[in-house]
Amino acid sequence: MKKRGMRRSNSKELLPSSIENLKTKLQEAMHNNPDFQIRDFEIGGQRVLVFYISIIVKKQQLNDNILAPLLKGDKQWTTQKLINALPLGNNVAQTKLNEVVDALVQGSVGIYIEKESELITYPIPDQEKRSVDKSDKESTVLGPQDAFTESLTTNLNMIRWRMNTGDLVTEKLLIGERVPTEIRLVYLKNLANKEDVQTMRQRLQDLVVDRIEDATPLTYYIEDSSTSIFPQFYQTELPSRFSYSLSMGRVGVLVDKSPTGIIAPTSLFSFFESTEDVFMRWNVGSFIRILRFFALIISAMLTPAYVAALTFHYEVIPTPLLTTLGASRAAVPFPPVFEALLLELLIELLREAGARLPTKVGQTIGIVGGIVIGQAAVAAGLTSNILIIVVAISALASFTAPSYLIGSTIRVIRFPLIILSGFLGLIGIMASICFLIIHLLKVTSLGRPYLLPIYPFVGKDFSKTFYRLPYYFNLKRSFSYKPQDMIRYPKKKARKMKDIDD
Amino acid sequence: MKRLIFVCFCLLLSAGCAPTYPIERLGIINTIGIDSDSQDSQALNATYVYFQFDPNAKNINEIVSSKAKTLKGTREKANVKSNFQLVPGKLRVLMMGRPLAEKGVASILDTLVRDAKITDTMYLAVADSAAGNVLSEVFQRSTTNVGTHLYQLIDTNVDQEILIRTTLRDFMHKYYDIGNDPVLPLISVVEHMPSIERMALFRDETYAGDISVEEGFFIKLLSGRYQAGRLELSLPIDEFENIRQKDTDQREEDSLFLSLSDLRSHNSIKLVSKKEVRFQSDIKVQARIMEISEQLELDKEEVVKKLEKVIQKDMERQINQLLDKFRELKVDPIGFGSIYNAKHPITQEEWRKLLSEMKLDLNLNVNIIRQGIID
Amino acid sequence: MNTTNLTIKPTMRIQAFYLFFIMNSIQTGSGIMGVPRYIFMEARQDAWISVLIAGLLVHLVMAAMFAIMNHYENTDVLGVQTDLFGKWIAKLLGTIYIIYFFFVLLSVTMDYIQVVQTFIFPRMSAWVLSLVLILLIVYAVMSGLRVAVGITFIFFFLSLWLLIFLYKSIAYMEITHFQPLLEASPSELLRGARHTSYSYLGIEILFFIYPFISNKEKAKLPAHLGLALTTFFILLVTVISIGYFSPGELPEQVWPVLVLFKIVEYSVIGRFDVLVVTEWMMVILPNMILLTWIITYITKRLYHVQQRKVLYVVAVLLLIGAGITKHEYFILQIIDTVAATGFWVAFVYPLVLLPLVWMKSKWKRRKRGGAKT
Repeated sequence: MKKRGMRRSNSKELLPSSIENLKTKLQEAMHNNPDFQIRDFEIGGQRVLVFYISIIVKKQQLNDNILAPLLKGDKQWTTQKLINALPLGNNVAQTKLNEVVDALVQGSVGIYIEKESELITYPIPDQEKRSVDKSDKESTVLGPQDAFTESLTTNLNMIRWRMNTGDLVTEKLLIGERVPTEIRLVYLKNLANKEDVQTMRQRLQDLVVDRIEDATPLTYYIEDSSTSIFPQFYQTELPSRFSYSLSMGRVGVLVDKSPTGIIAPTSLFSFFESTEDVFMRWNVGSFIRILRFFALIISAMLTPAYVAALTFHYEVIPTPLLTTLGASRAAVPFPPVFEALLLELLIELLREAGARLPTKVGQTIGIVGGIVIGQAAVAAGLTSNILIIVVAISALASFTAPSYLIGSTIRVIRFPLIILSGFLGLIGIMASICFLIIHLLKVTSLGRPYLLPIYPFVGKDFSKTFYRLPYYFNLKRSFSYKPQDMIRYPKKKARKMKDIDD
Repeated sequence: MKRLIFVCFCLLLSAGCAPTYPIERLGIINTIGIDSDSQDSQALNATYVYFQFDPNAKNINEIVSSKAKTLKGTREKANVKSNFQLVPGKLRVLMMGRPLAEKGVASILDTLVRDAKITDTMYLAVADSAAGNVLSEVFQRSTTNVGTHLYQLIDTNVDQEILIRTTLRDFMHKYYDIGNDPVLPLISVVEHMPSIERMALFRDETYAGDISVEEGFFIKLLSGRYQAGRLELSLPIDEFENIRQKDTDQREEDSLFLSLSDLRSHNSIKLVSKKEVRFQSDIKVQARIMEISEQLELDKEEVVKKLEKVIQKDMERQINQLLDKFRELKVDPIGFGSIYNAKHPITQEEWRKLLSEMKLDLNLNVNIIRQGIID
Repeated sequence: MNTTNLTIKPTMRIQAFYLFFIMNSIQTGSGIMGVPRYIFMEARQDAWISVLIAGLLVHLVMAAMFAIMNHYENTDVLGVQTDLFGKWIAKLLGTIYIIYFFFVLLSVTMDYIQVVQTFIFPRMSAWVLSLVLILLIVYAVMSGLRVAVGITFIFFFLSLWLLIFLYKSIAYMEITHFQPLLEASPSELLRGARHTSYSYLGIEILFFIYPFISNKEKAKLPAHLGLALTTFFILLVTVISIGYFSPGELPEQVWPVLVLFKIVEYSVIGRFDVLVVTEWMMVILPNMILLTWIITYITKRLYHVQQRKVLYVVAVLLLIGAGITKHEYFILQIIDTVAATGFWVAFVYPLVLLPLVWMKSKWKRRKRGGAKT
């Protein structure tokens, strides 16, 4: 921000200047862009210059709200008169060339009246955007279905409507040295932890990059540890999730031209929470959430356990299973590690191919890969049929994670685990689990421990993280992130136990 | 530095990683039969039944025999005869031939206990003749899967409380305890199939004699508790002369046959007198009649009471017979000695001497609670 | 070293209630696997009384340690030693601590490797196993005490479930093995109690960790509770071992506690002892990580060497030490030596230190009083 400010102060003063002079300066600054239009009107003997980039301003607005009032009658215009006459708000008085250019490329129309000391710009940008749609990446069954789009205004609009309280702050920041992108820091002023807001603001302000591609790459610039495989900021497409997090006291970041909102701080466990859990009944929601944690463990551990048991620990396999396993393994020419890696790789290929291809073809690929190749691989004696089940279950389990990011993290973690279990058996698996836990203890998200509320231990938050309780137990917000206000709603009058037949 | 550590790690992993046991290359031993060799009394004959995962083989089981001085030695010898690596991690049944059991089995079992790979829950059994012959006969003459068959034979009977649990753990425990002797099932071959015909009594580590499976019921009755046991009794019919309904049954038999099921028992043994070596046992039995050879009016209280009394008497008679047998063989499978030892520490030899003087006051209480859906 | 009092940054401080887990984790390690045997060899069926006696005595020692630490504002034992004996003797004593902790660490590592080699991989090289363990330790200690405490905390819960599976061996227990009661003489009981010392080692960590505790007024309860839990664990495994094993059998078991799990069997998991030995890594890792952290910390305090460098040196030494030993008797010898030394360092030394601290403060007060009048 400071640097950009410095650049601005160097910029040349444009005005006052003659009309012709101004014209050439603007043309120069726009590098004779064919879309750049300068229209020179003569109204009541006074020359008025209207200039804009034709393809990014709303033609309708330009004609009805600027040109029509301007050209009506033969008045003598001054800047102040014009501001009063035009039915548009947010006019900006400009004197500097660079600022004018910045405004023009963002879809403003500039008006200069001869001999005035400043020109005014009106932003009437015409942004092409898709309409609000259902989310593909994070689909939910219950609850709101709308998703963020690429337009920041639309996204802010959705958030504003969900959180129509004066408390909502959307701080504007510009990031990008060469191509600045608008970024909004969103939080609830009287709720979000001030330290968190300050940290996030600081990190965004200190960031010096030429251009931000999207919200996701932005997180890689500002997250705590870039070597870690675990995502440290939550990314979501769902305005419902975004606003829910805000109301829990988190800090959100929206990036222009990106359909992804960033939420911080997050813990590992929040990646397994879905907004759906909130819409479900508490007991059903708890069940599903616990199921997801199991899915995580199964997904990461099942294939390595298979490899370890078959390579080293035959005595752990129960006898009835041992005979079936042995019979199906007998024809396979590879060691179990290799077999498992092969099949896991196959599943990953299928997933990747399915994701890249159009939906209909992707489905076909899934069926062809899953059934035909799987069957053929067993028939050809390349893998044992039990491994197919094992790999399928663990792949399925990895897709239960509500966040696509954590799902892919788990799938990648599996590979070193399989290799280690092939070398050291159960000891290898145990060592990798220990390593993962140590690693997770080291990771932080926005300076807060990643394993909250387990370590540091915050027992009160378990009902928000690992399971859910009826609403009358959830009077308070998550303690882990220290929001300014803990109370969600006051405790109702004591829920008296009624006697039978009372 | 980090890269160096990583390289070291990879090198060590590839160089020193653990030896693998991929299951398709293993012959996973399921059952072992051990005998003492008939010519060389020092040598052991071992027969291994193992799983092998050969895609071309019809039978998943394979059998191999070998002879050596030690148990480990026999495995090495057997390994040479097999194209699979024989591993003992899933050993479920160890069967010892009777001649070997008569000599003592402690050294063999010590080898098993020492090996961390061998599970403590495997079953021990004694074969009627040579264990190797039992295994090979069943393997050759019957279509059944000999390894799992033997295990399941013992396991289901233990589960149904027909047999006393006889795992390696139980044997070692009783063997090491002062005043307690192990009991093992005695397996013989009937029509090419293994069958538990009798129970083998041990004096410490040596085979001392055998009793019938029915008699084995009373060992558990005295030393443990039943959750759902069963018992067949034949009672003298004269006792029921007055209450028997003659008109419905014309058969003339001199015994009344009775089957008790869902038998629950609870028992406590106390040392009453040290000098007389007198114990007192309070046994409470609760059972259901499921089969009875005569028609009795079981809905009448006095009939049931009478029946209970007769059953009680008969059980006492059988227990005393069994105890006489124990005194004669100088074995103590019930563990009177450990109760004595807990009060007055003695050695195993001293207890053996006292065993013949041992007396038991029985305090048996039989309670019949149900008789099926008809009276 | 000049100032007795330490100032610890607020971000490095830990809550007092974690002391519960620290005390328990550092004591529950390799010692508990074999301890019932040693106590039983001395006190026979009354071994459980020995455990209780030992527990009580260790509580006393801990109370003494708290009394020493409370005499000062915020210091560790190194500061106390400097205050009492002067700079050079304190340095010597601190070095003894370093060497002692290193050998405790070494013995734990070797013992675990031995267990893995016996139960799972008979032919696996000790180098590989120790390398795996040491890499984990280095990775953890690199982030300092906070992470070490976190590991202690999480691994405590992740290994607690092992207790559940003792139920099967409880079902196999024989009451007669405990009778007749109170057969052992007091001296046998005390000797039995002394044999628990290897399992109670680690209590000295309090001397070093104390300055890091943020709410010191609440420190006593969790520390004593942690110690009580250790006593409970040792008592539990001792009682079960006595009931489970015959009197003739128990002295022959090297790791009776692991053997207790050998009868656990399920239709899903054929053998449980393999899992237990693997899971035991989570029991010993916090132990090893805390020990390594102490070594690096003392060295930094005494010689102003970077903790990171000390860590590398310790790692290499540990790797060599654990890698080259192969013989069981040698390992047992080291463990015995550590246990014997530990008895003096961990339990007797604090009791010696306490009267000295008292005397010194009295002397100081009198001197000050003398100066005033």
